[in-house]
Amino acid sequence: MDERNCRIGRGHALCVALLLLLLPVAGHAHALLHEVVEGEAVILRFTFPDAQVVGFEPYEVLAPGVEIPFQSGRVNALGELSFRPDRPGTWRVRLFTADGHGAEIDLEVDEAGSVMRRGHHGGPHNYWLRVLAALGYLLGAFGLLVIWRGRRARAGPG
Amino acid sequence: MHIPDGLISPQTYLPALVIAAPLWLVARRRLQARLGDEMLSRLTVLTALALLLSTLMLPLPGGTSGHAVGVGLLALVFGPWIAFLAYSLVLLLQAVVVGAGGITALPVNALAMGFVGGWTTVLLFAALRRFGEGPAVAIAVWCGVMSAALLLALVLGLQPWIAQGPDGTPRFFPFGPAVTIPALLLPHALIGAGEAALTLLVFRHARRRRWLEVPG
Repeated sequence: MDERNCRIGRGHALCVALLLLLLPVAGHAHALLHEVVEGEAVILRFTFPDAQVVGFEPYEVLAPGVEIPFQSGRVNALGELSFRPDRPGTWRVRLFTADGHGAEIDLEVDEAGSVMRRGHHGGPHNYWLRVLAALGYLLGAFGLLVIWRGRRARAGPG
Repeated sequence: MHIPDGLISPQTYLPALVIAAPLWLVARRRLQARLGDEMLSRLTVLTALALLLSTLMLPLPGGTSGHAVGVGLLALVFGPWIAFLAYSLVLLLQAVVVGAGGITALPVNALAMGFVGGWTTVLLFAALRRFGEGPAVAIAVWCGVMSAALLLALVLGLQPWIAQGPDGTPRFFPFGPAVTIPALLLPHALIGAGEAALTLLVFRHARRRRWLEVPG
């Protein structure tokens, strides 16, 4: 009987020892580990044409040919977002504001993860240059209409 | 207020194009029938003014910015059809050259701001002018801006229901009308007031100079 109790006691001790051995493993399974990764990232900054920062607005980043976002979130207080492309191709960044402002930017990324070329429109710095160009086109279009009407009127009686 | 490319679905902008295209043709015929040399020069100047107004960004509370529309003045001076056509040209140049708005969104923007905004302004002005020209112009222009903003807010706000991905997430604009309607209407209530005052100034000048092409 004593020998049987002794065996049961040894079995219990073995179980407790095994549990103690496995506890750190179970603990690790719930841990969140981190490491600081050195590397290059694509950083985009969004501003309104008056240079006002587009802060805390939602965005999503789409990898080439994939419709499910690779990354999503909100831009920071400076209107910036950053991401690390893991493959070459055309990456798409979409940003929305609740009042209907938005941007959809295509970035051509090479094998090294560097941006080769960007689609959409240029930066905010040449905004007024573009407004001026639009005014020029508008006045030019109406000017052409005036010339065309004048020529047609002169040619009419003859 | 312009909706850029990528925010609205093809299910939205293709029907808008089907509606806008015949309206542009009607407007072109109206313009051809009435266009004279004097009117052409005035139309040039006021369309350029509308382009400038729609590019001046005004910082607004809440960290966003907005801009005036400018279609109300065109509609009051030249009538809603010509205003619609001229403002569509403004929107096209903004999309192609300035980078505001978009090509796919052009029919939606033109219908909301150029057509609905212009017609609301003209019809309200006609209904209210017996109470005095000044208040009639101001109220009509303000309501024109607000009606365009409301329509665009609804178009944006309906996108999460119109186009969804396989997992039910919105494929285009992600906010519903509960967000878009106040987000667009509140700032434009201020912008519309400023635009109404500016339009009244220019409208009075146009009236004194006998520039008004609309009867009455």
